[in-house]
Amino acid sequence: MNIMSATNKATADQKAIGWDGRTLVEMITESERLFADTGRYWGIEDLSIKDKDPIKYEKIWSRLRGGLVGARETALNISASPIVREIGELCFGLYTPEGDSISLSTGIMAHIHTMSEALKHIVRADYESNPGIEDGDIFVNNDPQLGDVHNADVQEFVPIFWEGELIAWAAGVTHEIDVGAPQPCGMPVGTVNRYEDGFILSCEKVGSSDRLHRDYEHRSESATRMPFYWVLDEKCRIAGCHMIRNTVLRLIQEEGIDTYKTFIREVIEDTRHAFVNRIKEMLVPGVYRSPSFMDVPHAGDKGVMPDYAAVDSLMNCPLELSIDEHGSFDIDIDGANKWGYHSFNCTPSGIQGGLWVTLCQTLIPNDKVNDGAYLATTFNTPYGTWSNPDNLSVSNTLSWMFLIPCFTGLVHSLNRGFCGRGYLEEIIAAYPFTGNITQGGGINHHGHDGSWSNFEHSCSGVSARWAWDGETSCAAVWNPEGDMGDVEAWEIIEPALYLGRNIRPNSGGFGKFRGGSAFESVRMVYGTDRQLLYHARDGHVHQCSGIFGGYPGSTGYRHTIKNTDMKERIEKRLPYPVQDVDSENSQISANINADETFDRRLYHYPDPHGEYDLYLSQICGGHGLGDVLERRAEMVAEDINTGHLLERYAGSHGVVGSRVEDGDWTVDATATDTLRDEKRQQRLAQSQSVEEWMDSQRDRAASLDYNVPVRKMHRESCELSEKWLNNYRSFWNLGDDWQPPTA
Amino acid sequence: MKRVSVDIGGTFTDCFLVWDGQYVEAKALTTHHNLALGFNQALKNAYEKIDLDLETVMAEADSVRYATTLGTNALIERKGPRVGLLVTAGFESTLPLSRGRGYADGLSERMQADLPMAKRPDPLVPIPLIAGLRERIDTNGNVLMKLIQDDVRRQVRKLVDQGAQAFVVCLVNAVSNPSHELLVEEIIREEYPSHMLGSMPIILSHLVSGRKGEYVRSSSSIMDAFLHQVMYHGLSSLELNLRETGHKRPMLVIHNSGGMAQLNSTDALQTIHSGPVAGIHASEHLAEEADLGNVICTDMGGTSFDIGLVVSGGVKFYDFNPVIERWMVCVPMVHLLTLGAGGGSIAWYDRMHHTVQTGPESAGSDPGPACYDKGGMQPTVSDADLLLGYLDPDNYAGGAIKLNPRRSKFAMDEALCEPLDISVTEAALLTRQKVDNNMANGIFQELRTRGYEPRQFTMLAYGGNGGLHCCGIAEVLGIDKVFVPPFSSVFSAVGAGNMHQLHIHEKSLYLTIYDSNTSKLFDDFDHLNQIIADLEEAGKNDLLRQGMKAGQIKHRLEMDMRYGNQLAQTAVVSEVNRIESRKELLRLIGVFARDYGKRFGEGSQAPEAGIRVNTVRVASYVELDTVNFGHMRKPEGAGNPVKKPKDIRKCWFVGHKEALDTAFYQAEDLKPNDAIEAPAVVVSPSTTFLVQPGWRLIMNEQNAGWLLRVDQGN
Repeated sequence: MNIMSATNKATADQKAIGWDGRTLVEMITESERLFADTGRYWGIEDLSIKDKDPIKYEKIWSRLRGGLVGARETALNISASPIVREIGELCFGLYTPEGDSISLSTGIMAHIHTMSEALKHIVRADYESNPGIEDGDIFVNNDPQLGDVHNADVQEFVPIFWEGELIAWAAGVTHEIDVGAPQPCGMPVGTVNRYEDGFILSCEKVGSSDRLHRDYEHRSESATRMPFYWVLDEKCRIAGCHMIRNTVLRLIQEEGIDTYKTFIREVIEDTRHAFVNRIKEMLVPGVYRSPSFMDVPHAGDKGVMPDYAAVDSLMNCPLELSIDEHGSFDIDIDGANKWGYHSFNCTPSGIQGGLWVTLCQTLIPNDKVNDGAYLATTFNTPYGTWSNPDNLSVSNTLSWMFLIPCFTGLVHSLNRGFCGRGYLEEIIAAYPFTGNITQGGGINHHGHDGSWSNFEHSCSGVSARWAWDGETSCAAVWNPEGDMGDVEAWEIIEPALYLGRNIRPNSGGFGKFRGGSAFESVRMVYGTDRQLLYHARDGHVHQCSGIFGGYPGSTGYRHTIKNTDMKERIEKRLPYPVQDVDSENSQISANINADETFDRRLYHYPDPHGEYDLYLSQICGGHGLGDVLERRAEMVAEDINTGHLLERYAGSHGVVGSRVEDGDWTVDATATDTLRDEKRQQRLAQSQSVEEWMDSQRDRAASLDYNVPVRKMHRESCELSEKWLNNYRSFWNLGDDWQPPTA
Repeated sequence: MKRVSVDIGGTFTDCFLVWDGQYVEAKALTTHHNLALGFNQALKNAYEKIDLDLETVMAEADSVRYATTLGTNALIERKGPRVGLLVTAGFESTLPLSRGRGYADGLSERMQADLPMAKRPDPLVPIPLIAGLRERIDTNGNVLMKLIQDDVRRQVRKLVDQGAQAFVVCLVNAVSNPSHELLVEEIIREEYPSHMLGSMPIILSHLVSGRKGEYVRSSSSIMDAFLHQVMYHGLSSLELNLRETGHKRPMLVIHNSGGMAQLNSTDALQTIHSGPVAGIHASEHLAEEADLGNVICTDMGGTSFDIGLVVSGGVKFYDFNPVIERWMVCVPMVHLLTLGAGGGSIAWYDRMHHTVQTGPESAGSDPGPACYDKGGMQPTVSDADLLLGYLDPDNYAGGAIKLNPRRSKFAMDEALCEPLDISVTEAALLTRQKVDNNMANGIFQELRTRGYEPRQFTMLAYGGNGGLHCCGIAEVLGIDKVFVPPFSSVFSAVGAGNMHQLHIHEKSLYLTIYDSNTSKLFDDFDHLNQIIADLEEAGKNDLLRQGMKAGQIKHRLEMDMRYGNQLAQTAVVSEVNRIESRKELLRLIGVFARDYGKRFGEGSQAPEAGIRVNTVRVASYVELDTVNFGHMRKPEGAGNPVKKPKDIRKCWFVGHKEALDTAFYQAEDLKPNDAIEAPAVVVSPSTTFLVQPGWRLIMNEQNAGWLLRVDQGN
């Protein structure tokens, strides 16, 4: 017998679908009131199942989590998208009727709370009355304003009923290759408002009786390029949700509905409590501050973007983490600057995505993660800033661009806490930015109009650890299953042939321990004369940084190579470029005749390329830890000999050496000692006290004597936050009447 | 049938001897310095049980079969030649980058997520031994840049100067067009002719795997080159041992693809994990003969828990990109999941969630669980089993190891009871529940990933700890039938004895058989059938080379199919070995849709995205005689009750507040169809059956037994 028909016999007069005859709105209101009053989820004082029968508690948890992981492992086979299947950009979750997460599968943990926000919208907006929530319904959302990071992440929700009551939501999310924006691909750069972001589904009901509505199917097929990716990903999400529903219903059949209802609330309260314990165990109470920044260089896009959007600007995230002796965990980014006419704005929901990605890889790397942990934290995203725009029409297709950098401050703060408690093995010098994101579209090498979104950026250099170097190119912070994919696999679907993919020297940040190196890909447009190509990564600003004196990984640059003589080189078997290696001594330039552009504009409006044009993509390296002059000289030599460091940068580490007969570079120990002594003396000679430095900078601070983007950023921060303005005045001792310049 | 089958494991060499209807199991310690010594001892222990002698066995045995961990050990110990790798210029970092994921391959989910600890294994080919060749073939196999021969010679000499002792050639898109790889081989042969002492082995990637994916193809080829010599010498010395003791036929080596072959038709990579795969094969054979339907094969030993699936209807589960040690490779291997769960798994306090976790760390055999009294200080699953009363401290492992419960109590108390504020018994029960849950979750995911429900399966439990934990695992999964098979402690060797001779050949195609844009069906049947014929020919030649007759050889055609650009593929067994008409193509599409729907749910099929064939695979095989398991069927009735146990002791069980009076039996005192009611423990020299409350054990022949849930109509 179908398990659904056996378990969902609602009584004829029952209207409200919440528990005990209540509506969902009543349930969420009560839940929030009890939490506000008691500080505990649903006011729970005792964990009755865990305390009385811990074995049963673990068993139920294992069943639910196993069901979620199993659903993910099964469903990803349905997807066609390499982003989902190979890179693992999908995740499933189970939520309470009010939308609080109970458990999450493996995968992109970012969505532990974003899907919660979307479900809470469904509840608060009383979908129960209109359009109605019934067994077999399917809802879709990719609206960051309601609960998401960006519209490339498409979420599916399936309600789970037991005898007429809504007892849970199954939810799944995947990342889409194309979202039907004017520019091809899933995360367009250069969009200036929401109306250019593409296909947005705002918590829509799109299916009933376990089937998608045909009108929705037609709409999604006509709204996106490469619709079969969208269709198969949708089937993937729905199949996973239905598997989760079966798991939950079977569990209830075995354990009883009362046990289930008690368990799902207790497990959230238990996780809240566990998170608080973790904070108390791992971190030292106090206030930690650490800012980060991101460049938005659109001034070069004048003529293709509107004038008001084609400007250079800077985003800032002045992150402050407060921890008290009771294990509170409060984050505040007061002082963040204003949203802008670009793709990188975020929403409070997106911010939560970034937060949980970071915490799952640092503070709580385990499988018991749910909204209990969310309830143990607070996060202030000031209204009007890029993190919480006061204009609903702003674009957020690339919210992720600043989400990882902006949490650098959080990782640094945690590191200081770990260090204070002696958990040295937990320390890692922040996470590198996830880029370059290579995307494109146009007529592909199969002759079809399409778009593509290469995800080799899902692997970047790991930053340095307390006692050893960062590892070369591993999974990025947001997904421990990241995989850069095989060249042969990407070339089947992308009209850009790889000429080379190699470790990039100097990409890892210098330090006593070096950041892990990244790689670079040189690609040649092939089989088509019509491709728009994008870059997306940091060019002017070190968005993330090293720690304890370590340097950040290198920033990137754009090296555009058009109208090349590659065709002739291929025909005549002449040398051709396979790697750039060194921006000051480019191997691409040395091996090609072409129109070349070098600049740092790595966020730009899509750029048209023709066949045999080349495209350079550099992935980010990890950041360094500790003083470069303390790095063992032999490690510097090994870096040079294995292609991680350009020879002329040995001196930056205070190391002297030369090449010997067998070609290896070896250290001159005596000369190294001498050079390092000299460098230390130079440092001393150049040093000044903090007071002296503050004095020297005070005038600049008073007049905001910085370049235009920095001045604009400061002005916006001061305008948006009185507190920030006062802090600025007080820090620089400017007096209460100081006002930021207006232009 | 007179047959010797041997599974050489890390600790024991298992032997299963079949001699004119008699079945004998025996073990001896593995002798790593000379595997032949352990083999001879295990064989001696077997033939002496039926009063035979070595000369008779060796002279009269129709075959001697080996499953071996030799390759795995060589990888762990890094015993191999210096391999030089030739790649397409620009791709010298392919191996060091290992697709980014190389740091995580072979690690548990928890360890993969621990990026601050990420570290790749030491490489099999260091960066100085990698050289690039200027050439390029595009995705469709067109030569974009021709190979430059002088460049090849220069790079080959450079690698030899660096100390290369073997070559692997892995060029981008070589599976679409192997001409450049073949040309490189020709040039190396010219430089280092095969009749010269300086000749070196050359492995071409397109011959190791016909699949796209340059990283896994290169790692597979490198592993093959790395293991080649050590495997050749190791297996040759075993074969020589057979010759010297009077066996005149070629030795047969078990393959991880589920078949076997002579040494001259065996790649080094094909021998990795061949022992556990043989166990799955034995399960498949048992399931067929005893009519068990779908079977989950589980092997719980001291440090690991192996899971395999056998599904009725001939569906085979292969890993096409299995991870061997810490490297992903691309050889078709019978699917096997190994979890870090066993008797030696360490139980530890999870501070964050204030509960118990188990594994994946294991106390191993040295120092072993705390109760071994060999210095182990951490509590393990075996300590929990001992404290709950299931193990006899004086008669563990046939009396070979004396257990000390005081050590278990001390370890449990210190590690778990103090922080959790619970009793030793509660800690032991939590430990047991946790490990059973972990194993059950592993099985659950294996099944759900393929679209199956656990209740549709019979669980087969073998390995030293299988009978002790199977009821607990089955309860979590909702499985109500568990079979502990005969000869369960040497079950992999049993499987080796039942193998057929089999070779698998495959080719990547990327054929669109239904184009949804034009609504057209593929019609170039001659092209497709020629590829199938070529693959059959290759398999046939392999088998003919081993002395098989052409008339004995059968072929099975499989295709890896997908909707649109799905990267995951569904292996479909074709009902016919040639596709010659639109009707037959539609039938193939129908089988694909049916299998796909079964696995992922009806309605999840998506022909609107098009239908493609990625790989065509031909399994060529010769069926040989096998051991009879027909009498191992599930009993019809409730069996004959056994009233008088050897002993009654108090044991603790999950879900019971008090210790229960538990009956203890010796397996040798029981007869087939004897029924043991719960709670009970049955001890045999090779395994222990724990009959948990709610279960009944019905003995079968050869110390096999059925554990059945009494409340499920059994």
